[in-house]
Amino acid sequence: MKSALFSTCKYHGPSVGAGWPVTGRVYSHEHAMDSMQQSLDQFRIADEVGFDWVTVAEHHFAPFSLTPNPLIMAGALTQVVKRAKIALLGSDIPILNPVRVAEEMAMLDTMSGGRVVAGMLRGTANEYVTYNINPAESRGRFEEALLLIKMAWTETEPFGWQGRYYEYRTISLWPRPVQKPHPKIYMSGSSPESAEFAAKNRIGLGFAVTNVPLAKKALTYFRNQAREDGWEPEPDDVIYRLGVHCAESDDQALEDLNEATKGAPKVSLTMSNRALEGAIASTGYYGRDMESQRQRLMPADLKTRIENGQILLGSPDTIVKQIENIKRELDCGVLDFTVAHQMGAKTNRSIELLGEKVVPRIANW
Amino acid sequence: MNANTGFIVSGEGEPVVCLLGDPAAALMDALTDDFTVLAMPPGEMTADALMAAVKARGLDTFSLMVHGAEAALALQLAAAFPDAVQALVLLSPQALDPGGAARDAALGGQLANVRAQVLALFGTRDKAAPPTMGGHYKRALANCHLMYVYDAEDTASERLEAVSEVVLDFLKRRDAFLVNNKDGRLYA
Repeated sequence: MKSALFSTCKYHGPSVGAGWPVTGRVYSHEHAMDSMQQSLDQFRIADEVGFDWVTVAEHHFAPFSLTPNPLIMAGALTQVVKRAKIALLGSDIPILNPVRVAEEMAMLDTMSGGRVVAGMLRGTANEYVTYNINPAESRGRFEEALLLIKMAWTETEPFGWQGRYYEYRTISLWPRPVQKPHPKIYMSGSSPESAEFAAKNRIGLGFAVTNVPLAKKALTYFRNQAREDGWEPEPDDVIYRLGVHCAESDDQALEDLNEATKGAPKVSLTMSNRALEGAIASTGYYGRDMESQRQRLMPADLKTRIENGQILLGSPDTIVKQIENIKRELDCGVLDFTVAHQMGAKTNRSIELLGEKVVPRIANW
Repeated sequence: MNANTGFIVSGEGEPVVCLLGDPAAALMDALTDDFTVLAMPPGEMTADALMAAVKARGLDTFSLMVHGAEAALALQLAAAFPDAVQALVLLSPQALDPGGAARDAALGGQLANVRAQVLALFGTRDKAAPPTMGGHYKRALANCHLMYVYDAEDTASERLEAVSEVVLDFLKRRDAFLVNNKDGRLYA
């Protein structure tokens, strides 16, 4: 089993309130600079202690994450992370220019010597407001953009694209990806529509902001769909993302987390503006499994989140036991550990403990 | 039908000869506001016979739009009469084999003589003319624009709005169709 380290690059400056979008009136550039530097340090440590991947992601207009363009952060990582793969999990391709995404990911694959993992996501519901894209078009844009990006990576002759949402008269990528035919692609797979598209196009699935029972149900559907499409997904075709904090003891880990999350918003980015989320839901954004998709975004207490495999918390031994259960239930090949970013030295120690005492023990699972 | 030449003629403007069947009727109709469409069903016609039929209409220059296997005839015609054929639109063409060689050996030696600007369209779901063939046309023809039509299995009969837009733009502006000339302003 591979281990990935996801640092959200959370802003840890003065309190700025909840909701979405979040006001910038108390924004501190000093804290933002420090937050970014801490993320870079966390990624460097993860690389040094043996994580297989480091992960970046796209979010907008909130202190939850300071990487609205994760590919810029990944560009910095090509110079900081010397060994691990750089997982772009991912770009929210329906709200972006797909040719630009193809170009930037190809640049990163070149700069990193072929270490890019290409995640392509629809993004959280609120992101559709970011660049004024109709959320009802999310899935159509996503599917077209993904296939266009693949074409841009693999077609060596200049070509045009006459799509539904995208139109280009001529495209010819320079640079081109190092990995052939292209970097491994993953997409989010919680909804049945995503599983069907991934199965049809032989794309890996990533699960985030969900839990083990829901992911297991979605994975079973995906694997059945893949069989119907004539292939059998490998464990490496499945990424499961979850929160983690590791300390020398279980008590210490709990104390660290309680201290760090005191007063922090308990709701997900999407649900932090319920009126907006409701308006987006009414467009059909979630697809035919809407209630289940919304349910996984709802807040839950820490005990429930641990029981449902959303958070790993404790000593290295405790965390290995928790992972045993996840591996048994999901048979996923990649765990994407989202570290509690904001604890400074404790976060760094958590990454070191994971690298020294967890990553090697699960590597051959 | 014109009894002398076998064409069904409609529309006004520069002539576009279309060797297309009924499934492409809507696409041909979409050209008639801007072009004179001279339609003839695909068949066993030779390049010389087709050229004679066009000349019988009093036309010295024209553009040509074909589908599938008729691409071989269109390319032969363009190679043999480079001054007459102004532009070629190849819808899901099947003139080349999967290795990139001409299916008709005689055509192979003539491809280098095609000087007309070519627009070759492939549907991304096409199985008869798969998009993996597109690069072969680009390499074989000196002035070929390759265009993938997303989510189409056949470019002659599907995604009419998308196909007709790019075909019309190409026929009107040739190479210049690469340059966007649409008004991008949202509001006055």
